[in-house]
Amino acid sequence: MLRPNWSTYLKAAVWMVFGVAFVFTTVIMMNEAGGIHETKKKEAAANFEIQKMVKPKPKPKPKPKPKPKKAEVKRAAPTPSLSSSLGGIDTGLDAFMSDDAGMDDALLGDVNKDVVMTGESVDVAPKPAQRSAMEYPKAARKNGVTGYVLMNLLISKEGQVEKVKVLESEPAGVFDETAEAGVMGWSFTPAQYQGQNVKVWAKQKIRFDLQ
Amino acid sequence: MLSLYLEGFFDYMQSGGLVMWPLFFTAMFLWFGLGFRFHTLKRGSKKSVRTLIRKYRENKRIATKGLIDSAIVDAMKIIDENGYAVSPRKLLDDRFYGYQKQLKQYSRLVMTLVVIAPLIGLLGTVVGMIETFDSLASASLFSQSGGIAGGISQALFTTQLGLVVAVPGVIIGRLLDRRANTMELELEQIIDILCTEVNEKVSHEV
Repeated sequence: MLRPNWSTYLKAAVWMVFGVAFVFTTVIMMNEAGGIHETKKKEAAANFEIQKMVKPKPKPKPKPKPKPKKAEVKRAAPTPSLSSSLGGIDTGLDAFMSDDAGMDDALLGDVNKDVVMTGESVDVAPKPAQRSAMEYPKAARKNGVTGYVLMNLLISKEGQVEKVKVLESEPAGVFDETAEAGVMGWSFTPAQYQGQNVKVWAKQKIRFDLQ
Repeated sequence: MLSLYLEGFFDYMQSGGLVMWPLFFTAMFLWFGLGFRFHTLKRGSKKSVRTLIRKYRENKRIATKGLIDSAIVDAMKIIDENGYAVSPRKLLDDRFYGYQKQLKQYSRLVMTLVVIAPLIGLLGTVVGMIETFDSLASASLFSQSGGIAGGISQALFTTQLGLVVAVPGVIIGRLLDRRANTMELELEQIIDILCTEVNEKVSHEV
């Protein structure tokens, strides 16, 4: 009897289980009797500002030198609109910017087909019609981090967001998921080209600010 | 049923923050100590020490159910082996040291945890308060979030748990301590009774 045998330890372990269960049951019952329910924290909406994307100014084209000989102006081969195939990638090259000479109806083809255009090539740019609130990331709010996310959105003819690509974000990776998820819930007034609604890749910048 | 209970448990643990887990383990060790003490502090039979000694003498009782019973049987064995020449008190003291130690086993642990549990709870509250005021400082004037009351009520969960862990520990621990004290006295009583018997026998023979 001097050395406690294993059965004593076993009984003590049973006590342990039941004791802990008893304690926590007591506490939880206490709180329920008091009608304490953990209030869900109100989701704080992020303040975001819509920033108009400034179109890059096309560089002035160098004037062709006047030639004394018969002026057969060589026309540059029309560049196919790569902006549709490169959906959402801003090359920054003038040749592929959509407001150059290569863009005409023939190339754009029938609007009724599912042609994807970019924000620069349409007549009427899409505008956000309905914005759902976004939850400011907890860690960022706590540390007072602010920043922005620049995204490319594929907006359907109906004004729904179909795809989201993050182009750049500051600070990297903090707000990306929040912004992507939030933007998916937005709806836009669809972009128009020649009076018809078209699919369009549009840029959207969302700033996260703590005010 | 069990899953529902577990869900409630985890909800509760989350509501208090990180300090809840140390409290949980405190409760576990506390109840382990209490259970161990409860099962080691079994006396055996309800009869008085004198009666028990007589019964064992007359071989009317053989089973040793508890600590006092086995202590008496042990002591008698020692006296029988020792013979009646030397006073057996020292031998018995040595032998009973183990029993004394067993009576005190985990009593310190229980006492310490009972004191510590409310303190840990208080610590959790302080941490929660710091967070609350921190968020209050960064909250804007018109925003609905960052209410002070919600944060404080959350912070107080840990203190509540700390107290609920401590109170049963104090009550049961005190009861067990009292039982241990009486058993300690009884052990001394056993030594006294047996030694006087031996002395009487020796003086008779002389």
